[in-house]
Amino acid sequence: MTVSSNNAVIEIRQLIKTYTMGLTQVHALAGLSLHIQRNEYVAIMGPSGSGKSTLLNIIGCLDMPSGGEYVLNGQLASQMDDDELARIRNQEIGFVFQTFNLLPRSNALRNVELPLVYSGIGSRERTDRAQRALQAVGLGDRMNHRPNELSGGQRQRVAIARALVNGPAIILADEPTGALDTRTGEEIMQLFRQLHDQGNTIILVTHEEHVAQHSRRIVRLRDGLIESDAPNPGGTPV
Amino acid sequence: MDLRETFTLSVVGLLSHKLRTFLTMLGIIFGVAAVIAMLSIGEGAKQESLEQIRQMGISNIIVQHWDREEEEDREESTDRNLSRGLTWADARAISDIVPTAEYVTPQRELQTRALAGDNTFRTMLVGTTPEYLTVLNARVASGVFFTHEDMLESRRVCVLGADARRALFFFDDPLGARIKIRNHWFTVIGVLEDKGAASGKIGGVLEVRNTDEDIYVPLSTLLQRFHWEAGQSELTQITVKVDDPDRLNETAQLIRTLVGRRHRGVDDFKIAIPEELLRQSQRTQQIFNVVMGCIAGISLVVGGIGIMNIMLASVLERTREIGIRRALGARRRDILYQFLVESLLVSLTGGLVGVMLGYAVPEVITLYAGWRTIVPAWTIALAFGVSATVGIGFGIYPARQAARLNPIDALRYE
Ligand SMILES: Nc1ncnc2c1ncn2[C@@H]1O[C@H](COP(=O)(O)OP(=O)(O)OP(=O)(O)O)[C@@H](O)[C@H]1O
Ligand SMILES: [Mg+2]
Repeated sequence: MTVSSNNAVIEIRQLIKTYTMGLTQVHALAGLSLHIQRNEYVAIMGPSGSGKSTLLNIIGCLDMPSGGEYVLNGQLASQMDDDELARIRNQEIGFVFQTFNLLPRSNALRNVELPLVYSGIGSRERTDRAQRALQAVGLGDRMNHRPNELSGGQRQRVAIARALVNGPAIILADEPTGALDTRTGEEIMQLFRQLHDQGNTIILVTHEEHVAQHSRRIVRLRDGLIESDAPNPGGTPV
Repeated sequence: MDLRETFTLSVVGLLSHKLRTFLTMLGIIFGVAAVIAMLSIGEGAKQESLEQIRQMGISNIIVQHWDREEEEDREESTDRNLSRGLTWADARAISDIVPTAEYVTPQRELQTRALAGDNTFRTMLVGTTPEYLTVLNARVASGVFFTHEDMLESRRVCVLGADARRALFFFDDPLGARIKIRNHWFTVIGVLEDKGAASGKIGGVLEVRNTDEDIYVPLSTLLQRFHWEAGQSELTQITVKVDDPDRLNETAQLIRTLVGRRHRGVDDFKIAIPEELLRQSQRTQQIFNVVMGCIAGISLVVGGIGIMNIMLASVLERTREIGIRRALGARRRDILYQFLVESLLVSLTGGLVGVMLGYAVPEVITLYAGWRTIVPAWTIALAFGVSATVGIGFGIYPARQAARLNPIDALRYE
């Protein structure tokens, strides 16, 4: 079923996410609408608690909205079954977490291989592709290190390699530089810029103005609604 | 994700907690080992009593003299006057009157010592008739058994049981040699084949001794040559071979009536039917097996609960890992299989070690307690079947818990 009105990759209409905590209800998202086209580079900003992570998790199919519609590539997410959602997380979306979320007992290579394992790719090709992804983020010499043997920036680069390894069209990042110092953060941002140049759609959540300046479009949230949505003239033009 | 990946993943998961995995396994190991050990003891006991009873003859009826003197002193004198105990005449009467009695062999036993050269041997001297061979399914290994002629002339000849031969003559040829029993010399004319039966008690009633240690002489010779106290029963036992195994009970009834009348109602004998005892002991064995099986089964259930407990803890502990895997594209069933295969591996490995232990324990029991043990082959299939069932049965719930988690909830789990 196609419910797409234009050729947007992501269409969000009247999205609601409500958390019930005992008697009180928290409206993390209060009827938010947003369209994102292919190869856009969007930064989502806003004060703490405004619903940025909630929105990104729903876009990444990690969470389900309480109301409204989320259409991904012309398909209504609420109509997909768990297997289909798993396939999307596996192949169409690469997610980069603020806290990296690497498996602590596995080395960098094994961590990057993980999405390929769930794609049913044979171990030979898997290792091959994971190695190339790690080389692409400049960690060719750290493949056998476990996360606790890597610096924060290196860990985030492993996480990015993992998000990229299956060639997803959409990259989502929730405060990817939040746990890093400014200089390391800049290095990570360079990686995103490259990805954008290669044709990926990028959505990142951030607190920091200078990080947002890398994007082409800045969406500001407040209390679960869009406060402003404007192109970013400061972003480097294509 | 294919099965091999899942398998590797589970192995890695288990190896990362070696001690915990091992302790979890212990429950299954002991459970399976207990099941096998119990069954093998039961099976061994069954075989043993089966052989003992076969040795006594499956179509035989045994009439034994029953000494009541010790128990009821006061009646002693009156009873003695009425009955002279089990006699050779009783044996002849059974042979003449009971139509289903195919062969009848009387037996008089005397605990004594035999000498051959410098060797002495504590033995049971058995006075009997040539029918003994047929009735007790014994076979002559070398030489001959004594004949009716030997009986008539009360010749001082003897036939050795296999163990008696070994003890008295080692590797020498005993045929023609002379052995001394009390004050009498006997010529060895034959040796019996090894019957290979151990001594014991069947159904708690019938005493079975190792008859390979016996020395056989003609009954007439024994009764004539040795000095007997007055009032002692002439015979120890009469063994009757019945021509039709279906008529054991009615034959026994007839013999009871006949001998009872001849003894003027004095209750100084008892009748045992090995076949009947066999069935009784099998019934007891079955009860033993069921009880032991239940106990062992309970330990398996406890082992299974151990697995479930650890798997639940492991699911909690690895919630974040589950979240990460789900976020990267693992389907519910990938997670389900991962945990299910883990618990299955624990229980099957435990089952395997348990089988090995289950083989070793009966060996040790045989070595130290001298019990016969037999591990029936089907118990191994049973053990594996049971451990697999335990693994799946107790692993499915934790695995379901793991698979049920939402990606985001699992990722947020602290
Ligand atoms: N699992 C949850 N249960 C209850 N309330 C939640 C849950 N997750 C988020 N919320 C609430 O929803 C609102 C939005 O949370 P969200 O994490 O999206 O904020 P955010 O914009 O990402 O903030 P930050 O910048 O601090 O990360 C907050 O008020 C938060 O308390
Ligand atoms: Mg957030």
